[in-house]
Amino acid sequence: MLRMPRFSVQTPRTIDEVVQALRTPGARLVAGGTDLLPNIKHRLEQPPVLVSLSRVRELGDVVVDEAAGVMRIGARVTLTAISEHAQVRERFPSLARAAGVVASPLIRNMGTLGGNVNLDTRCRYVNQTAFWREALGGGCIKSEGSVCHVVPGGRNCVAAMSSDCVPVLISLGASIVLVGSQGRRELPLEDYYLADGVRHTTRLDDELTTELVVPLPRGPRRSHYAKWTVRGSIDFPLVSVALRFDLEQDHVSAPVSEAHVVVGVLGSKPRRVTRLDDVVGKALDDPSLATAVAERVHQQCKPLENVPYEAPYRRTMLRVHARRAIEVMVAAG
Amino acid sequence: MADRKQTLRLGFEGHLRKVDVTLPATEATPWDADSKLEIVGTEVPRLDGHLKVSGRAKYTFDVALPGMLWAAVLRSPHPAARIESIDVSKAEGQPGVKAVLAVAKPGDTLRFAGQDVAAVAAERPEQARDALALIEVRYTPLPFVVDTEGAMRDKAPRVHEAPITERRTEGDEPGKAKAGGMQGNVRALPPNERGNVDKALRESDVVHEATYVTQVQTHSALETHGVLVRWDGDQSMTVWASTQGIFSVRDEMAEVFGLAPSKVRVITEYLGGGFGAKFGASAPGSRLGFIAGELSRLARAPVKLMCDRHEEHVCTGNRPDSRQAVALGGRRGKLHAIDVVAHGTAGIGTGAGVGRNAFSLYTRCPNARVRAHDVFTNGGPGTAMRAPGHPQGAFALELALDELAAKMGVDPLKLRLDHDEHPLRSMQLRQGAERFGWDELRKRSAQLRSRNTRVRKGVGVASSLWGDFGRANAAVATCSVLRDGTIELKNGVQDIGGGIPTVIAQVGAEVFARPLSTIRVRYGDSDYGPSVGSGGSTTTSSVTPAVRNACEQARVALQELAAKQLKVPAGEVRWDGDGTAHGGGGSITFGQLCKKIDGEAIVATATRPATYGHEPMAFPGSKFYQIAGAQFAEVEVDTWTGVVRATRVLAVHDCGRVMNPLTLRSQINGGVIQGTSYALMEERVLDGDLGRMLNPNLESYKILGARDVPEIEVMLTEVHTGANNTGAVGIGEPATVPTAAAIACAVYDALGVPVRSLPITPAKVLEALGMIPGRPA
Repeated sequence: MLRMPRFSVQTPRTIDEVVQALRTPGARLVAGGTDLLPNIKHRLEQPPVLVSLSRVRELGDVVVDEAAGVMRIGARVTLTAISEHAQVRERFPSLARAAGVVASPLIRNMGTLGGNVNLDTRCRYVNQTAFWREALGGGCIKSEGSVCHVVPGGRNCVAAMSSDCVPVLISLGASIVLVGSQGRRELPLEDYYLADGVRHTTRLDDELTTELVVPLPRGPRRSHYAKWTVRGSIDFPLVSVALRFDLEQDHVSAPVSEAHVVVGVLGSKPRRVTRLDDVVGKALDDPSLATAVAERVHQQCKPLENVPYEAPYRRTMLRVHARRAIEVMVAAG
Repeated sequence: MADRKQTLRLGFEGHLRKVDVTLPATEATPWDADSKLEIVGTEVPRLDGHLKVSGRAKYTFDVALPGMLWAAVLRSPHPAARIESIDVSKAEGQPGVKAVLAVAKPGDTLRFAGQDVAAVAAERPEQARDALALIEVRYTPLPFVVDTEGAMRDKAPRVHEAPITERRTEGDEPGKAKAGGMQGNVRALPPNERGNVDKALRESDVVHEATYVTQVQTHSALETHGVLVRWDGDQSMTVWASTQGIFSVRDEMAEVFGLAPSKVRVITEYLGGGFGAKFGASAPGSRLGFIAGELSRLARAPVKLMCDRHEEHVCTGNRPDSRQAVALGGRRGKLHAIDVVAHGTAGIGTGAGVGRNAFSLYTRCPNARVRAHDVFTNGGPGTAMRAPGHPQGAFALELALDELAAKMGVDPLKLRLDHDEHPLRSMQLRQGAERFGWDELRKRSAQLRSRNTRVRKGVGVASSLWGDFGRANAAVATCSVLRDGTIELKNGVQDIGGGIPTVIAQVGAEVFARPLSTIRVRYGDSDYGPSVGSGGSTTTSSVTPAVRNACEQARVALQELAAKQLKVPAGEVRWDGDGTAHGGGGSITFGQLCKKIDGEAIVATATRPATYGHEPMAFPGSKFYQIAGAQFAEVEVDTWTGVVRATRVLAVHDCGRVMNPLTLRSQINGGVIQGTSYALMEERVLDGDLGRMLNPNLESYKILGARDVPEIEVMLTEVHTGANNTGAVGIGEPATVPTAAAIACAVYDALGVPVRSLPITPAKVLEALGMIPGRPA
């Protein structure tokens, strides 16, 4: 059994107190702990202080603000709650689905949306015991060392962004709200991530994520989240594709007015698939749309050997799963 | 006393016959087909089930003693290295540290990443881990090789300088001969041949040749290896061990520390799985018993050493891999030749053979030859794992057989039936095929193939053979009938998880016609009398006959007491269904009778003799019964993603007399699940450049989850073998032998092309279909 080093825990009650507590050098936020605690056991982090959100009441709500045209989801809302929330299911079915396929029920009961969007990047050479990494000759860029075992000679960490919810939230145009000693800021979630597996978000050390703001659909829409894992549960995604199609009318033969496809588990940053202009105007159930989208996904997304199962296989599967996801949406009507 | 002759009715459904056996005079009359049993053979829930599910069962990991220290082991980071120096001084005096031990010494060669180097005992486990970081070791890295094919090349680094002798445990299949010499890293195992295979292959009208590859699988028991050692003075100790062989732990600790075996007490109340890797006080690749015992001696405090999951994957054993070049010859619609040349690696250890399947299953094939080899590599040692060699051998043989059947244009099931001499297995194959819907399902597969559908379905079948290796004189059981009416049954056997205490209680309840609630079973402690290790599927067949003999002897004494009370000759006492004795017109209840016991208890101690029967068929070259089994598997394959789902497995097995259908089905379910996991997911991944395991955890070493388990149907074909007085024979291993093979055959049926490599990953399926390019081998 892996053991945790010693640390102290603070339990502030307000956001201001949290920000204050985060000023302790090396302090880390903990909500559900399902990502952080295993990383601590692996000695990827040894924070002297954990700042627990368990007593902060403010971050636990899902609010639909019709006037502003957004849904606000507090960072402490559990993944289970999101997957079961009637409004989320109705307005953002792909988000409900993504939250509902994270790991296992036990983890979803503990894990929060704020934690999921801040999930640390993952790599087969990193998420191991300290002893294991040491034996590589001193870890890698993301742990104790300076080399990359995934991309030989690489100077940039390419650990994989493995959150199920992030690609979906980006496809939905969500923004993230952070509060820190410099005040409150809101930015598109898409701009929150960096192509650097060591520090893969723009979060400052004393900032905490308070909520995710998701614009309500203004018209008919179909969305889906495709995830492939080796096992039927518990696993991190190996193929992860979020798709959103806004439609001119509320049926699948209607022309697409906007298309958003975002792919995870490549490098450290989710990838928005571009050059989808030519699918706009096509009917969602036009088979050439599915083929075109799948082709773009395949062309633009290049998985790396940073997670289990062969990268060439996973690349091939991106095409298959993107196309299937569209077929599922079409079949659902 | 002279032996006696006894006529038993033996065999199986439709094939029962009278057979004479010779029994020692003290042996209870064996239960046979005519015995009417009330409790043995019924669905008795595990007596300790509620303790396990409520967390009250205490495993080795849970045992805590006052003043106990925790040990941690510094392990080699190099796959091959020479130790130049070790300095442990900086670890001494660290917070909480009470003892430090250099396990390796300067000049030692380390042969795999994970080998023992040094160890620390401290008050808290984190302190022990932290102190390891301060031990200074200078290594000179040496050339190494971790892949089986690479190790076979002429210029490959030599893993061992000197010839290696086989390390055997109770988990190994009994009766194998010694191996031959070494060439480079390759060591030939004793070959088997009948007929003339080279000639037969030349005579064949159809020849199928291909190479089949299996991966390294780790045991991955839920509870990792571990021991807790407490010295009781300087000449005796008590050891709590997560072990499947209490007495093997005792013997090793006694030998290592120069103690009399009787001075070492070993306790294993509950065990979180073993699968063949937990014999002796050490793990196959780590001297856990020595380390904990020595640290405890140095620190003068109890020391607990439990492996973490990484250590468990790397240094506690594994199922060796295999590359099997198979040639099958068919002649006039019949199987004419079987030729297997196998190479596999058990890392630095031995035992990479491929089991009995190719040589001993289809015995109507006149010509067969199996030549297997151990290939040494710088990996953690392999060790016995649930039917050592058999799942590997079954996979290659059965899939090759299906490929030959396709070339010959015969049904694979018929080909098997034509060449299998075991009458019970033939019945299992026929009845199983009918229940499974074999003919219709094969037609469905062909239709889906011809329509080139995206989702295909396929079915396959494979067989299992194992032996009744139940041991004579090894388990000694004690039955005490106490004055308060309790029947106490004692034996030092551990419960590997199969539920042996419950079955022991059933035997006692049966003999005395008493309720289970009045039976108390004492087990899991060497003080309760000699017993067997749980290896070779021998626990129930070794222990229950000894228990029964002890019970019957105690019952004879009780009958004499009853006769005295009822004032009739002992032969006239009759027992009814609730244990009341009748005679001479009077009666006395069991409770009343027990109160008349002179002293505290009637105590009888007994063991079991050698096997005295093997109806209907013996294990090849022995007088042991040959256990038969067959499994049918159905798979669904998505030809776009290559993902294989095992949807259904029908497991048809015999294990002699069914002692308890619930615990029996559990073992078969477990065997099927472990076999499915082996077929589709589990694989130790070693990095060839680093010489290390890439997935030594349970996140990226994939074990089948609940959602991936097929629907399992169990069909039991009871057989009265006459092997021993309860009629029990084993099931733990036979249940996992054919699963992966049947699944691989089903994938072949679904696709029309074989995947000749385990695990059957999606990428391999797509390669087989030609949808993505193959990787270089």
